[in-house]
Amino acid sequence: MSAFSPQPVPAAAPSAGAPADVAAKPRTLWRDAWGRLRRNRTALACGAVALLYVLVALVGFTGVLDRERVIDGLATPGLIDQTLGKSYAAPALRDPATGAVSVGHWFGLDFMGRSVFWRLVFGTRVALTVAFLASVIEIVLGVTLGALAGYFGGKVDAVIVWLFSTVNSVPWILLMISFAYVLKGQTAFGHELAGVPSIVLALGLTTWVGLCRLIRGEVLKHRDRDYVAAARAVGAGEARIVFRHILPNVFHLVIINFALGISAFVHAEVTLSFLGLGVTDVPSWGRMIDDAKLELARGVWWQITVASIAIFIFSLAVNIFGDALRDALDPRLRGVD
Amino acid sequence: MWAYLVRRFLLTIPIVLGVVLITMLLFSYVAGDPARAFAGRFASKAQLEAIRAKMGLDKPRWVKTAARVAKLDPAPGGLLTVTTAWKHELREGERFALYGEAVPRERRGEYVVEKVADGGKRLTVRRADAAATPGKAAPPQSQPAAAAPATMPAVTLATMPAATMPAAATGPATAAAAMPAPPAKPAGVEFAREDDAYLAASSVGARARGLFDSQFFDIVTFKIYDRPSMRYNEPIWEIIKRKAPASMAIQIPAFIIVLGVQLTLALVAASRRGRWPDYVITVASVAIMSVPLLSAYLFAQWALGMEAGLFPVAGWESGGLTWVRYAALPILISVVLGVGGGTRLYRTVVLDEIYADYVRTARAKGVAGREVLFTHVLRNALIPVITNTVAALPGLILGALILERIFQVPGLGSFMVDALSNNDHTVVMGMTFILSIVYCVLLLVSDVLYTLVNPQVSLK
Amino acid sequence: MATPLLEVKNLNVAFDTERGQIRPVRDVSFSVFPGQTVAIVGESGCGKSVTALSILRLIPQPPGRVLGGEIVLDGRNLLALSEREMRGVRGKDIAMIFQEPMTSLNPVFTIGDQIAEAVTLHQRISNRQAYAVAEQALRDVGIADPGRRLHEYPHQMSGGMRQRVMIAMALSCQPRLLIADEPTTALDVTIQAQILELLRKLQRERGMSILLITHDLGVVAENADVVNVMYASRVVEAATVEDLFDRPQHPYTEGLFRSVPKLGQKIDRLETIPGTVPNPARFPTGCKFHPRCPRTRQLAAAAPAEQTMEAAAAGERFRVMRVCVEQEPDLREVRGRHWASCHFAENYPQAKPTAPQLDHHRPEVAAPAAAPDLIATAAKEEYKP
Repeated sequence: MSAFSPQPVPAAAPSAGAPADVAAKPRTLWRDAWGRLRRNRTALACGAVALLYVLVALVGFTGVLDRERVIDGLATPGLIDQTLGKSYAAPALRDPATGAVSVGHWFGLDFMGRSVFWRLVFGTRVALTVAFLASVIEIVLGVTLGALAGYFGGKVDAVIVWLFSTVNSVPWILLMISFAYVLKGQTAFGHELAGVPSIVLALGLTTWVGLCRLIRGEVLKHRDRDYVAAARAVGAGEARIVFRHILPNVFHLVIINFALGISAFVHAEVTLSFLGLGVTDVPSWGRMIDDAKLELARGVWWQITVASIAIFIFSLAVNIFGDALRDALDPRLRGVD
Repeated sequence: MWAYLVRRFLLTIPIVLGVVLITMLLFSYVAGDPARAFAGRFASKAQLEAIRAKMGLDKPRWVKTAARVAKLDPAPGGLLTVTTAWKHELREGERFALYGEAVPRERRGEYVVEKVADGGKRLTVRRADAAATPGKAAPPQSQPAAAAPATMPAVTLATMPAATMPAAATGPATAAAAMPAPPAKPAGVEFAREDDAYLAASSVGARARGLFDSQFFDIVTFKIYDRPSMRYNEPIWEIIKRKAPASMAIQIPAFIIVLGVQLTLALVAASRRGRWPDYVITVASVAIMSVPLLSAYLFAQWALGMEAGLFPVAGWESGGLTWVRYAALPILISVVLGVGGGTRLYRTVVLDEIYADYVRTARAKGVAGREVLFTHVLRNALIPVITNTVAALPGLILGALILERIFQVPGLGSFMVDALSNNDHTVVMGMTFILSIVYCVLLLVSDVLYTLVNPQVSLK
Repeated sequence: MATPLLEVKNLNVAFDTERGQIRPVRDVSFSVFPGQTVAIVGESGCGKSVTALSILRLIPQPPGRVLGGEIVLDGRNLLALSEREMRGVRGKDIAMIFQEPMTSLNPVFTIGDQIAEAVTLHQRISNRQAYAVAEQALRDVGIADPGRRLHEYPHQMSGGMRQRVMIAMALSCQPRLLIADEPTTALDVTIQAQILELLRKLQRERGMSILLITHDLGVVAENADVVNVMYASRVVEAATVEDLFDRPQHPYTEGLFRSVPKLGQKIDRLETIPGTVPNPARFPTGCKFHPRCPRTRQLAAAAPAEQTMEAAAAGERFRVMRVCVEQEPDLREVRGRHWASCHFAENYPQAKPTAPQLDHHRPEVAAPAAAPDLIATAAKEEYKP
């Protein structure tokens, strides 16, 4: 034995290395994820781009673009409806008539002489509104039903599984069309329901299935974990267990689904417009591309090009950000460093 | 295994039935009368009737308990002749109720069938509260109220105008009531509009029989496939058979090629994670996924078809191998666009496997890198891949929707879309039904495949 | 002295993580002689597994990198071989078994497939012969009815049986060195004993060497000939198993021994080494153990002020010997065939920093006539609360 007799070491608080280690902040999943996300510059750039689109969309809400105003005693239509020049005028820096730099002419004019630029800007509002609202419906339905099915099992589960299997089997297109018919000409809360509301409803009511399945699977996995038994042993009721204990563990999947779903909804709007079910009264990206069916053959490329690029960039940014988000939230990567 | 299959099959039935239910609900109740929608506003009643018959809409939707009444005529002996527009299930001696907004109040009420004629379309009936044979005493005044079914407005003899009183009710006994003079011959009533008059069978037997003659029943027993499409005027089944090859000619090759490319790229990207092949593949996948489909199709058609003249712009020709020329561009563009989404997904799946312990064991045994990937990892990755892939297959049938429209391919996708926009009700119902069956079958197939591929799971 | 079968010289491995570079293996040297069982002991995170994986070059190259050193087998530096040559070594000259037998076996292939694969990789024999070899291998590790087991899947077997399968697979090509990375940690104690006995038996029969990675001192005591203790990516003590247990030189080793409860001991509270293993991304300066080391604090209490320094750890401040903070000690032969890296080990200042070479085998002992009746002994002493 060495010359040094073992002395009881003073009961010390757990330490970690000599350099004064500040009591570390709790490493939650979210904080880890945020840290990881912050370090990913590409993802941040994409997030900024997405944010930019949101800002542009907000411009669409201000009414500058679509409402009629009185200018110089004349009732002038909003920027998206104003005729700025000849039909199918090519993009130009300046207004050919006045010679002044005119933003409205930068992306050319459509077949009614309206500014493609402003219509594109407005389309941002439409796209994001559709995407966001549809996501809300999807999440509310999908998470609730999925959690109920996964947690309670038995008959509840059987019914919900039947429900989403059935909804899944109905061709998506059919559901869309049905909603389009139903809501045509009807109003709620003083707003016409055709167009955006019907698309939102239709999209939300068809996409909840995927999220529901996902959440159901995850809740099933978590239901038998020890922490749930522990919560029950402490006397937590069912609702509390589901909402306060299980769902937070599963919520990151919802976030990822939301981020990646936005892009899917924007694309869906394009498809719907092609089928004639999309937005009818206001310009939207989908309508602009759909109109181009006839235009391309005549050499008119600007409307479809800018709309496609707008969608492409948005979708790319959202997808990359969503991917980075998923990587950041991946629990497997926790604790690696 | 067979027990499992049978059980799964039985479980599939409620789903398929549910699909038909939802679809019928949506399309029929929600979209209004399909016949009128198809024929337009100016169609005459006769045309509407003909279209309805063709579409099979002359039957009730779910269960036939009712039949539309076209005419009411007085018949000798104080009876009534009821002519129905639809087939009904009544037999002699069975009861029914006559109702409807256009039915004169005095006519409403319960009746009993005396005779069935004209293939069922003409019924000779008498009032339920009347005697079966003339002479039998009619019940006193209070009885009609008791005899009337709960849903029918009580018909009291007292309120009946003398002119329309069925003769059978008059008998010596009823003369005791404040009965007016014997009625003149009552006029017949004809019902012009659809919702005007119905008879509703109230006997159990009729109702049971009624189950087997409804639109719903037609669909689930596949009778609907013999009906013609309004547009093409041939039975749906024939049309489907005719158009299917065009769709398959594009979808199947595209699917196979896309799957192969996706898996290979996924394996490459996952095995070189963090290095440039992974980076390029991932970025390219995401970029491709972000391109709007419609734009891609239009541009491809314009650039490669019109401008460069490499492919025919649109159209189709079958017969021998000529279809290859027309299928080439759609397949090409489908493959290019489809590679994006799947590659990302499969990359994730493969990555899950690559970091598994058994990969480390395999390498410790001396297995070479590529073989680890294609034998060990792929085999394990197939499990989620199969689930995903098979679930996506039904999309193939309809997924070609836009593609077929733009490239003018006469396949099932464009058939469906046309039917939807033309309100071709029969086709929509038929196609939906088929699709849901296909979907359920494919789900079953994927489950079975899953158990074949994953030895840890056995069919219970 | 005989030539070592495997010599690890100054191995340095780095990992590039998002938080910077960490070095899980720093300047590690040891040797394994034929027929020897060499144990590498340490807590989680000390670098022992990475060391083991590096021998077979199984560290994923990004983010891992071997910075330097040599691993010599039969005169060849394994680190300099091409990948293809290395594959010839894996499974054939050196084999490895892992901690988690369930996840370490491929769930979609049968046992027979997996063992046969190991065989056919290194020998040119037909499939049928490979299966025959596999069956014999299963028999050798004590699995009953091996013919049937060949066609079963890993999930159909118990944990102990799976580990036997892993061993069978590893040994199917008669390797000269078996690296066992915590082979019994995931198993029940009774199964643990069986597996270890199996390994000892196979070793005797084949003259195989074993590199045993573990954190369990009991396993070391029963199986090892030579022990290397690792802490914070380095070997801090290396000795024969008897010497190590008899006179540990490094305070960390002492701490490890103190924390093992002994039958018959009467204490109120189990001893632990206070503090936790340092985060490799933020190692302390000097000797990595100094924040937790009782020896340096004791010495500092009695030493003149200029030789001591203040150090802090998790809110606590204490004085330690200055040299412990400023200089990281290297591994020196402080006693005959006993290496330690502590400034204050016996003879440290005069000792030479050489690489440990311990060609030692524990003497075969006959089983004791009767196990000492510890319970009776303990019962004799009265329990005084």
